[in-house]
Amino acid sequence: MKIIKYLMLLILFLASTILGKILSKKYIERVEELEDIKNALSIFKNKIKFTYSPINEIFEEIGNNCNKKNIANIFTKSKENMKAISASKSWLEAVDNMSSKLNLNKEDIVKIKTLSKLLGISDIEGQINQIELTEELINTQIIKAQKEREKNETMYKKLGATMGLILVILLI
Amino acid sequence: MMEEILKYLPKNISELIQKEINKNPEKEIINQAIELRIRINRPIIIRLIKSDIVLNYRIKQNDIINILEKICENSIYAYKAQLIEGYITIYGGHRVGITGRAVIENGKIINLKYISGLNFRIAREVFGCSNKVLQEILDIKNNTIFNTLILSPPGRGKTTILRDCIRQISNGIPSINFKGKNCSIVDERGELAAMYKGIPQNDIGLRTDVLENISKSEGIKMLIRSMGPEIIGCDEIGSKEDIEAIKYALSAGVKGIFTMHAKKIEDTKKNKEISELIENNIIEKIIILENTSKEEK
Repeated sequence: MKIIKYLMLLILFLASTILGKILSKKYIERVEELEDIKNALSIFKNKIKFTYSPINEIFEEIGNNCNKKNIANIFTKSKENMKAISASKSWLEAVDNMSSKLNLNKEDIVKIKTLSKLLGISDIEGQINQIELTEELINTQIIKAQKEREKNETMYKKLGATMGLILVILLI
Repeated sequence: MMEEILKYLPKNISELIQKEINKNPEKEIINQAIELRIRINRPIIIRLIKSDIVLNYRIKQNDIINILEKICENSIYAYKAQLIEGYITIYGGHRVGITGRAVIENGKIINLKYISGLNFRIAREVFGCSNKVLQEILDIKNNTIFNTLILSPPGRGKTTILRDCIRQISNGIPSINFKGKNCSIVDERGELAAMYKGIPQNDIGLRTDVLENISKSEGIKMLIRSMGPEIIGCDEIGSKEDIEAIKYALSAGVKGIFTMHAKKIEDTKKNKEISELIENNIIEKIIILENTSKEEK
Protein backbone atom coordinates (compact mmCIF):
# COMPACT_ATOMS: atom_id res chain seq x y z
CA MET A 1 0.00 0.00 0.00
CA LYS A 2 2.74 2.43 0.93
CA ILE A 3 4.55 1.65 -2.29
CA ILE A 4 1.45 2.49 -4.30
CA LYS A 5 1.03 5.70 -2.32
CA TYR A 6 4.64 6.79 -3.00
CA LEU A 7 4.24 5.86 -6.63
CA MET A 8 1.12 8.05 -6.89
CA LEU A 9 2.94 10.92 -5.18
CA LEU A 10 5.83 10.55 -7.63
CA ILE A 11 3.38 10.64 -10.53
CA LEU A 12 1.75 13.74 -9.01
CA PHE A 13 5.14 15.42 -8.68
CA LEU A 14 6.09 14.57 -12.25
CA ALA A 15 2.71 15.69 -13.57
CA SER A 16 3.04 19.03 -11.83
CA THR A 17 6.57 19.48 -13.15
CA ILE A 18 5.46 18.61 -16.68
CA LEU A 19 2.55 21.03 -16.39
CA GLY A 20 4.99 23.75 -15.44
CA LYS A 21 7.10 22.90 -18.47
CA ILE A 22 4.06 22.94 -20.76
CA LEU A 23 3.05 26.35 -19.52
CA SER A 24 6.58 27.66 -19.99
CA LYS A 25 6.74 26.15 -23.49
CA LYS A 26 4.03 28.50 -24.62
CA TYR A 27 6.45 31.41 -24.17
CA ILE A 28 9.19 29.57 -26.07
CA GLU A 29 6.82 28.69 -28.92
CA ARG A 30 5.62 32.27 -29.17
CA VAL A 31 9.16 33.52 -29.75
CA GLU A 32 9.86 30.78 -32.28
CA GLU A 33 6.64 31.44 -34.20
CA LEU A 34 7.33 35.17 -34.36
CA GLU A 35 10.86 34.50 -35.60
CA ASP A 36 9.52 32.10 -38.20
CA ILE A 37 7.14 34.77 -39.46
CA LYS A 38 9.98 37.25 -39.60
CA ASN A 39 12.02 34.83 -41.74
CA ALA A 40 9.03 34.21 -43.96
CA LEU A 41 8.60 37.95 -44.52
CA SER A 42 12.25 38.24 -45.42
CA ILE A 43 11.83 35.49 -48.03
CA PHE A 44 8.70 37.24 -49.31
CA LYS A 45 10.52 40.54 -49.66
CA ASN A 46 13.50 39.07 -51.47
CA LYS A 47 11.41 36.96 -53.78
CA ILE A 48 9.41 40.01 -54.85
CA LYS A 49 12.54 42.10 -55.30
CA PHE A 50 14.48 39.64 -57.39
CA THR A 51 11.98 37.42 -59.14
CA TYR A 52 8.78 39.53 -59.36
CA SER A 53 6.92 36.27 -58.73
CA PRO A 54 3.20 36.49 -57.97
CA ILE A 55 2.17 36.26 -54.32
CA ASN A 56 0.51 32.85 -54.59
CA GLU A 57 3.73 31.27 -55.87
CA ILE A 58 5.82 32.91 -53.16
CA PHE A 59 3.37 31.88 -50.43
CA GLU A 60 3.45 28.29 -51.65
CA GLU A 61 7.22 28.30 -51.44
CA ILE A 62 7.19 29.89 -47.98
CA GLY A 63 4.62 27.33 -46.87
CA ASN A 64 6.96 24.54 -47.92
CA ASN A 65 9.96 26.06 -46.17
CA CYS A 66 8.69 27.30 -42.81
CA ASN A 67 10.05 25.60 -39.71
CA LYS A 68 6.78 25.87 -37.80
CA LYS A 69 3.88 23.98 -39.33
CA ASN A 70 1.30 26.44 -38.00
CA ILE A 71 3.08 29.37 -39.62
CA ALA A 72 3.45 27.42 -42.86
CA ASN A 73 -0.29 26.78 -42.79
CA ILE A 74 -1.07 30.51 -42.68
CA PHE A 75 0.75 31.01 -45.96
CA THR A 76 -0.66 27.85 -47.52
CA LYS A 77 -4.23 28.71 -46.54
CA SER A 78 -3.80 32.27 -47.75
CA LYS A 79 -2.58 30.98 -51.09
CA GLU A 80 -5.62 28.71 -51.36
CA ASN A 81 -7.98 31.55 -50.41
CA MET A 82 -6.53 33.73 -53.16
CA LYS A 83 -8.20 31.57 -55.77
CA ALA A 84 -11.50 33.17 -54.81
CA ILE A 85 -10.77 36.43 -53.00
CA SER A 86 -8.26 39.26 -52.97
CA ALA A 87 -4.79 38.78 -51.51
CA SER A 88 -5.57 41.18 -48.69
CA LYS A 89 -8.73 39.39 -47.57
CA SER A 90 -7.14 35.98 -48.05
CA TRP A 91 -4.30 36.88 -45.67
CA LEU A 92 -6.70 38.19 -43.01
CA GLU A 93 -8.86 35.08 -43.26
CA ALA A 94 -5.90 32.74 -43.08
CA VAL A 95 -4.52 34.47 -39.98
CA ASP A 96 -7.94 34.39 -38.31
CA ASN A 97 -8.40 30.71 -39.12
CA MET A 98 -5.03 29.77 -37.67
CA SER A 99 -4.97 32.13 -34.68
CA SER A 100 -6.44 29.59 -32.25
CA LYS A 101 -3.70 27.10 -33.09
CA LEU A 102 -0.86 29.59 -32.67
CA ASN A 103 0.94 30.52 -29.48
CA LEU A 104 0.69 34.20 -30.32
CA ASN A 105 -1.23 36.77 -28.36
CA LYS A 106 -3.81 39.24 -29.68
CA GLU A 107 -1.25 41.97 -30.19
CA ASP A 108 0.95 39.67 -32.27
CA ILE A 109 -2.02 38.76 -34.45
CA VAL A 110 -2.89 42.41 -35.07
CA LYS A 111 0.69 43.13 -36.13
CA ILE A 112 0.79 40.15 -38.50
CA LYS A 113 -2.44 41.29 -40.07
CA THR A 114 -0.84 44.61 -41.12
CA LEU A 115 0.71 42.69 -44.02
CA SER A 116 -2.75 42.65 -45.61
CA LYS A 117 -2.62 46.38 -46.28
CA LEU A 118 -1.79 46.96 -49.95
CA LEU A 119 -1.11 43.24 -50.38
CA GLY A 120 -1.08 42.56 -54.09
CA ILE A 121 -2.39 45.95 -55.13
CA SER A 122 0.66 48.14 -55.07
CA ASP A 123 3.86 48.33 -57.05
CA ILE A 124 7.13 46.69 -55.98
CA GLU A 125 8.24 49.57 -53.81
CA GLY A 126 4.91 49.82 -52.05
CA GLN A 127 4.83 46.10 -51.48
CA ILE A 128 8.35 45.99 -50.06
CA ASN A 129 7.68 48.99 -47.83
CA GLN A 130 4.63 47.27 -46.38
CA ILE A 131 6.56 44.05 -45.77
CA GLU A 132 9.33 46.00 -44.06
CA LEU A 133 6.80 47.80 -41.88
CA THR A 134 5.32 44.47 -40.83
CA GLU A 135 8.84 43.13 -40.18
CA GLU A 136 9.53 46.05 -37.84
CA LEU A 137 6.30 45.48 -35.98
CA ILE A 138 7.11 41.76 -35.65
CA ASN A 139 10.61 42.65 -34.41
CA THR A 140 9.06 44.70 -31.61
CA GLN A 141 6.85 41.78 -30.70
CA ILE A 142 9.84 39.40 -30.72
CA ILE A 143 11.68 41.63 -28.22
CA LYS A 144 8.61 41.71 -25.95
CA ALA A 145 8.15 37.96 -26.33
CA GLN A 146 11.79 37.26 -25.48
CA LYS A 147 11.52 39.36 -22.31
CA GLU A 148 8.38 37.52 -21.27
CA ARG A 149 10.07 34.25 -22.01
CA GLU A 150 13.06 35.10 -19.85
CA LYS A 151 10.74 36.12 -17.05
CA ASN A 152 8.24 33.30 -17.27
CA GLU A 153 10.01 30.25 -18.65
CA THR A 154 12.11 29.55 -15.57
CA MET A 155 9.33 30.71 -13.25
CA TYR A 156 6.77 28.23 -14.60
CA LYS A 157 9.24 25.38 -14.69
CA LYS A 158 10.21 25.99 -11.07
CA LEU A 159 6.61 26.65 -10.08
CA GLY A 160 5.57 23.34 -11.53
CA ALA A 161 8.24 21.48 -9.65
CA THR A 162 7.62 23.46 -6.45
CA MET A 163 3.86 22.94 -6.52
CA GLY A 164 4.46 19.27 -7.12
CA LEU A 165 6.75 19.12 -4.13
CA ILE A 166 4.27 21.00 -1.92
CA LEU A 167 1.46 18.64 -2.90
CA VAL A 168 3.69 15.65 -2.17
CA ILE A 169 4.63 17.05 1.23
CA LEU A 170 0.99 17.81 2.09
CA LEU A 171 -0.19 14.42 1.03
CA ILE A 172 2.63 12.43 2.60
CA MET B 1 -11.39 28.79 -74.52
CA MET B 2 -14.33 30.74 -73.19
CA GLU B 3 -14.15 28.58 -70.06
CA GLU B 4 -10.54 29.71 -69.54
CA ILE B 5 -11.69 33.32 -69.56
CA LEU B 6 -14.73 32.81 -67.33
CA LYS B 7 -12.39 31.77 -64.51
CA TYR B 8 -11.13 35.35 -64.28
CA LEU B 9 -14.57 36.86 -63.88
CA PRO B 10 -16.55 37.33 -60.66
CA LYS B 11 -18.99 34.51 -60.02
CA ASN B 12 -22.13 36.52 -60.83
CA ILE B 13 -20.74 37.65 -64.20
CA SER B 14 -19.40 34.25 -65.26
CA GLU B 15 -22.77 32.67 -64.36
CA LEU B 16 -24.56 35.30 -66.44
CA ILE B 17 -22.36 34.58 -69.45
CA GLN B 18 -22.70 30.82 -68.97
CA LYS B 19 -26.50 31.29 -68.87
CA GLU B 20 -26.36 33.21 -72.15
CA ILE B 21 -24.23 30.47 -73.73
CA ASN B 22 -26.70 27.79 -72.64
CA LYS B 23 -29.76 29.86 -73.62
CA ASN B 24 -28.61 30.31 -77.23
CA PRO B 25 -27.02 27.11 -78.46
CA GLU B 26 -27.69 28.06 -82.08
CA LYS B 27 -25.41 31.07 -81.74
CA GLU B 28 -22.51 28.77 -80.81
CA ILE B 29 -21.07 31.47 -78.59
CA ILE B 30 -18.16 29.31 -77.47
CA ASN B 31 -16.95 28.76 -81.04
CA GLN B 32 -17.89 32.16 -82.46
CA ALA B 33 -16.76 34.50 -79.69
CA ILE B 34 -13.75 36.63 -80.56
CA GLU B 35 -13.84 39.18 -77.74
CA LEU B 36 -15.37 39.87 -74.37
CA ARG B 37 -15.65 43.59 -73.77
CA ILE B 38 -15.90 44.94 -70.25
CA ARG B 39 -16.35 48.67 -69.70
CA ILE B 40 -17.25 50.57 -66.55
CA ASN B 41 -20.91 51.61 -66.29
CA ARG B 42 -21.75 49.89 -69.53
CA PRO B 43 -23.14 46.47 -70.34
CA ILE B 44 -20.90 43.50 -71.05
CA ILE B 45 -20.58 42.74 -74.75
CA ILE B 46 -19.64 39.40 -76.23
CA ARG B 47 -18.35 39.96 -79.74
CA LEU B 48 -19.02 37.13 -82.11
CA ILE B 49 -17.57 36.85 -85.59
CA LYS B 50 -20.68 38.38 -87.19
CA SER B 51 -22.61 40.01 -84.37
CA ASP B 52 -22.53 41.27 -80.79
CA ILE B 53 -24.40 40.03 -77.75
CA VAL B 54 -25.13 42.76 -75.22
CA LEU B 55 -25.75 41.38 -71.74
CA ASN B 56 -28.06 42.92 -69.20
CA TYR B 57 -25.40 43.74 -66.64
CA ARG B 58 -23.59 47.01 -66.15
CA ILE B 59 -20.01 46.70 -65.02
CA LYS B 60 -19.15 48.39 -61.75
CA GLN B 61 -15.74 49.67 -60.72
CA ASN B 62 -15.38 46.86 -58.17
CA ASP B 63 -15.93 44.32 -60.93
CA ILE B 64 -13.02 45.71 -62.94
CA ILE B 65 -10.78 45.77 -59.86
CA ASN B 66 -11.69 42.17 -58.99
CA ILE B 67 -11.08 40.97 -62.54
CA LEU B 68 -7.75 42.78 -62.75
CA GLU B 69 -6.64 41.29 -59.42
CA LYS B 70 -7.44 37.82 -60.71
CA ILE B 71 -5.67 38.43 -64.02
CA CYS B 72 -2.60 39.66 -62.14
CA GLU B 73 -2.82 36.72 -59.71
CA ASN B 74 -3.33 39.16 -56.85
CA SER B 75 0.11 40.60 -57.59
CA ILE B 76 -0.18 43.80 -59.58
CA TYR B 77 3.56 44.46 -59.13
CA ALA B 78 4.38 41.23 -60.98
CA TYR B 79 2.42 42.38 -64.00
CA LYS B 80 3.32 46.05 -63.98
CA ALA B 81 5.51 45.83 -67.10
CA GLN B 82 2.67 44.28 -69.05
CA LEU B 83 0.13 46.69 -67.57
CA ILE B 84 1.98 49.72 -68.88
CA GLU B 85 2.14 48.05 -72.30
CA GLY B 86 -1.63 48.01 -72.16
CA TYR B 87 -2.21 44.26 -72.21
CA ILE B 88 -1.65 41.10 -70.19
CA THR B 89 -1.42 37.60 -71.62
CA ILE B 90 -3.33 35.08 -69.57
CA TYR B 91 -3.37 31.31 -69.47
CA GLY B 92 -4.55 29.95 -72.80
CA GLY B 93 -2.79 32.66 -74.79
CA HIS B 94 -5.69 35.12 -74.58
CA ARG B 95 -4.75 38.76 -74.37
CA VAL B 96 -6.50 41.18 -72.12
CA GLY B 97 -6.30 44.73 -73.36
CA ILE B 98 -6.48 47.33 -70.60
CA THR B 99 -7.56 50.95 -70.76
CA GLY B 100 -7.35 53.59 -68.11
CA ARG B 101 -5.46 56.74 -67.27
CA ALA B 102 -1.78 56.64 -68.08
CA VAL B 103 0.61 57.97 -65.49
CA ILE B 104 3.51 59.60 -67.29
CA GLU B 105 6.90 60.49 -65.91
CA ASN B 106 9.71 61.90 -68.01
CA GLY B 107 7.73 61.16 -71.13
CA LYS B 108 7.31 57.45 -70.31
CA ILE B 109 4.28 55.56 -69.05
CA ILE B 110 5.05 54.34 -65.57
CA ASN B 111 1.63 53.16 -64.55
CA LEU B 112 -1.97 52.80 -65.57
CA LYS B 113 -4.64 53.89 -63.12
CA TYR B 114 -8.42 54.33 -63.03
CA ILE B 115 -8.80 51.21 -65.14
CA SER B 116 -11.93 51.75 -67.18
CA GLY B 117 -12.07 48.84 -69.56
CA LEU B 118 -10.87 45.34 -70.28
CA ASN B 119 -10.93 43.57 -73.61
CA PHE B 120 -10.52 39.82 -73.50
CA ARG B 121 -9.32 38.82 -76.97
CA ILE B 122 -9.99 35.13 -77.38
CA ALA B 123 -6.99 33.41 -78.93
CA ARG B 124 -7.58 30.82 -81.58
CA GLU B 125 -4.95 29.01 -83.55
CA VAL B 126 -5.74 28.04 -87.11
CA PHE B 127 -3.70 24.96 -87.89
CA GLY B 128 -2.91 24.63 -91.54
CA CYS B 129 -3.79 28.21 -92.46
CA SER B 130 -0.29 28.69 -93.86
CA ASN B 131 -0.40 25.67 -96.19
CA LYS B 132 -0.85 27.75 -99.35
CA VAL B 133 1.70 30.33 -98.28
CA LEU B 134 4.25 27.65 -97.40
CA GLN B 135 4.12 26.36 -100.96
CA GLU B 136 5.81 29.62 -101.93
CA ILE B 137 8.07 30.04 -98.90
CA LEU B 138 9.68 26.61 -98.77
CA ASP B 139 12.89 25.94 -100.68
CA ILE B 140 12.46 22.17 -100.60
CA LYS B 141 15.54 21.42 -102.71
CA ASN B 142 17.79 22.96 -100.03
CA ASN B 143 15.54 22.10 -97.09
CA THR B 144 15.27 25.73 -96.16
CA ILE B 145 13.06 28.69 -96.91
CA PHE B 146 13.21 31.81 -99.01
CA ASN B 147 13.50 35.05 -97.02
CA THR B 148 9.88 36.13 -97.07
CA LEU B 149 7.92 39.26 -96.31
CA ILE B 150 4.19 38.81 -95.70
CA LEU B 151 2.14 41.94 -96.29
CA SER B 152 -1.40 42.70 -95.24
CA PRO B 153 -3.47 45.43 -93.62
CA PRO B 154 -4.26 44.95 -89.91
CA GLY B 155 -6.66 42.19 -88.94
CA ARG B 156 -6.16 39.97 -91.97
CA GLY B 157 -4.37 37.16 -90.18
CA LYS B 158 -0.72 37.72 -90.97
CA THR B 159 0.28 36.94 -87.37
CA THR B 160 -1.80 33.76 -87.42
CA ILE B 161 -0.21 32.72 -90.69
CA LEU B 162 3.30 33.57 -89.53
CA ARG B 163 2.75 31.46 -86.41
CA ASP B 164 1.51 28.52 -88.45
CA CYS B 165 4.44 28.84 -90.86
CA ILE B 166 6.92 28.72 -88.01
CA ARG B 167 5.11 25.76 -86.46
CA GLN B 168 5.20 23.71 -89.62
CA ILE B 169 8.79 24.63 -90.49
CA SER B 170 9.88 23.86 -86.94
CA ASN B 171 8.11 20.49 -86.86
CA GLY B 172 9.06 19.57 -90.37
CA ILE B 173 6.63 18.42 -93.07
CA PRO B 174 7.17 14.69 -93.59
CA SER B 175 4.69 14.53 -96.48
CA ILE B 176 7.07 16.58 -98.62
CA ASN B 177 10.23 15.36 -96.96
CA PHE B 178 10.93 18.74 -95.38
CA LYS B 179 12.99 18.26 -92.21
CA GLY B 180 12.30 20.40 -89.17
CA LYS B 181 14.45 23.51 -88.69
CA ASN B 182 15.60 25.38 -85.58
CA CYS B 183 13.42 28.46 -85.46
CA SER B 184 13.57 31.51 -83.23
CA ILE B 185 10.91 34.14 -82.84
CA VAL B 186 11.07 37.57 -81.30
CA ASP B 187 7.64 37.89 -79.77
CA GLU B 188 7.65 41.58 -78.95
CA ARG B 189 3.95 41.83 -78.08
CA GLY B 190 3.32 38.26 -77.09
CA GLU B 191 1.00 37.57 -80.01
CA LEU B 192 2.94 34.76 -81.65
CA ALA B 193 3.75 32.33 -78.89
CA ALA B 194 1.55 33.91 -76.16
CA MET B 195 3.93 32.86 -73.42
CA TYR B 196 2.40 32.37 -70.00
CA LYS B 197 5.00 31.90 -67.27
CA GLY B 198 7.48 30.67 -69.83
CA ILE B 199 5.14 28.19 -71.48
CA PRO B 200 3.98 28.95 -75.03
CA GLN B 201 0.20 28.87 -75.08
CA ASN B 202 0.21 28.54 -78.86
CA ASP B 203 1.77 25.67 -80.76
CA ILE B 204 4.90 27.14 -82.30
CA GLY B 205 6.66 23.92 -83.13
CA LEU B 206 9.12 21.49 -81.55
CA ARG B 207 12.25 23.35 -82.51
CA THR B 208 11.21 26.93 -81.78
CA ASP B 209 12.76 29.25 -79.22
CA VAL B 210 11.01 32.38 -78.09
CA LEU B 211 12.33 35.67 -76.83
CA GLU B 212 9.40 37.72 -75.61
CA ASN B 213 8.72 41.24 -74.43
CA ILE B 214 11.82 42.62 -76.11
CA SER B 215 12.35 44.83 -79.15
CA LYS B 216 12.91 42.98 -82.41
CA SER B 217 16.28 44.68 -82.93
CA GLU B 218 17.68 43.53 -79.58
CA GLY B 219 15.92 40.19 -79.67
CA ILE B 220 17.21 39.15 -83.06
CA LYS B 221 20.81 39.84 -82.09
CA MET B 222 20.46 37.93 -78.82
CA LEU B 223 18.92 34.94 -80.56
CA ILE B 224 21.59 34.83 -83.25
CA ARG B 225 24.30 34.89 -80.59
CA SER B 226 22.81 32.33 -78.28
CA MET B 227 20.24 30.03 -79.91
CA GLY B 228 21.73 29.18 -83.29
CA PRO B 229 18.53 29.58 -85.28
CA GLU B 230 18.26 28.47 -88.87
CA ILE B 231 15.14 30.56 -89.31
CA ILE B 232 13.88 33.63 -87.48
CA GLY B 233 10.35 34.98 -87.45
CA CYS B 234 9.22 38.51 -86.58
CA ASP B 235 5.87 40.20 -86.72
CA GLU B 236 5.32 43.76 -87.96
CA ILE B 237 8.78 44.90 -88.89
CA GLY B 238 9.32 48.46 -90.02
CA SER B 239 11.74 50.51 -87.95
CA LYS B 240 15.30 51.24 -88.94
CA GLU B 241 16.57 49.25 -85.97
CA ASP B 242 14.45 46.24 -86.96
CA ILE B 243 15.88 46.24 -90.45
CA GLU B 244 19.47 46.61 -89.20
CA ALA B 245 18.99 43.58 -86.98
CA ILE B 246 17.39 41.62 -89.83
CA LYS B 247 20.32 42.44 -92.10
CA TYR B 248 22.66 41.24 -89.36
CA ALA B 249 20.75 37.97 -89.10
CA LEU B 250 20.43 37.34 -92.80
CA SER B 251 24.09 38.12 -93.37
CA ALA B 252 24.89 35.46 -90.77
CA GLY B 253 23.22 32.89 -92.99
CA VAL B 254 19.93 32.78 -91.10
CA LYS B 255 16.72 32.74 -93.10
CA GLY B 256 13.67 34.75 -92.08
CA ILE B 257 9.94 35.21 -92.37
CA PHE B 258 8.65 38.66 -91.52
CA THR B 259 5.36 40.46 -91.65
CA MET B 260 4.56 44.08 -92.33
CA HIS B 261 1.47 46.29 -92.41
CA ALA B 262 0.77 47.15 -96.02
CA LYS B 263 -2.13 46.96 -98.46
CA LYS B 264 -0.06 46.55 -101.59
CA ILE B 265 3.53 46.11 -102.63
CA GLU B 266 3.90 49.78 -103.45
CA ASP B 267 3.46 50.54 -99.77
CA THR B 268 6.83 48.92 -99.07
CA LYS B 269 8.46 51.71 -101.05
CA LYS B 270 7.32 54.19 -98.37
CA ASN B 271 9.68 52.48 -95.96
CA LYS B 272 13.22 53.24 -97.09
CA GLU B 273 14.86 50.43 -95.11
CA ILE B 274 12.46 47.72 -96.26
CA SER B 275 12.61 48.98 -99.79
CA GLU B 276 16.39 48.56 -99.63
CA LEU B 277 16.04 44.97 -98.44
CA ILE B 278 13.78 44.22 -101.37
CA GLU B 279 15.89 45.99 -103.96
CA ASN B 280 19.05 44.26 -102.80
CA ASN B 281 17.34 40.88 -103.17
CA ILE B 282 17.72 40.15 -99.49
CA ILE B 283 13.94 39.57 -99.37
CA GLU B 284 13.35 36.79 -101.88
CA LYS B 285 9.55 36.44 -101.69
CA ILE B 286 6.78 38.89 -100.94
CA ILE B 287 3.33 37.51 -100.14
CA ILE B 288 0.27 39.75 -99.99
CA LEU B 289 -2.66 38.41 -97.97
CA GLU B 290 -5.29 40.95 -98.91
CA ASN B 291 -6.40 39.13 -102.01
CA THR B 292 -5.71 35.79 -103.65
CA SER B 293 -2.86 37.07 -105.77
CA LYS B 294 0.72 36.90 -104.62
CA GLU B 295 3.90 38.36 -105.94
CA GLU B 296 7.19 36.63 -106.20
CA LYS B 297 10.28 38.74 -106.16
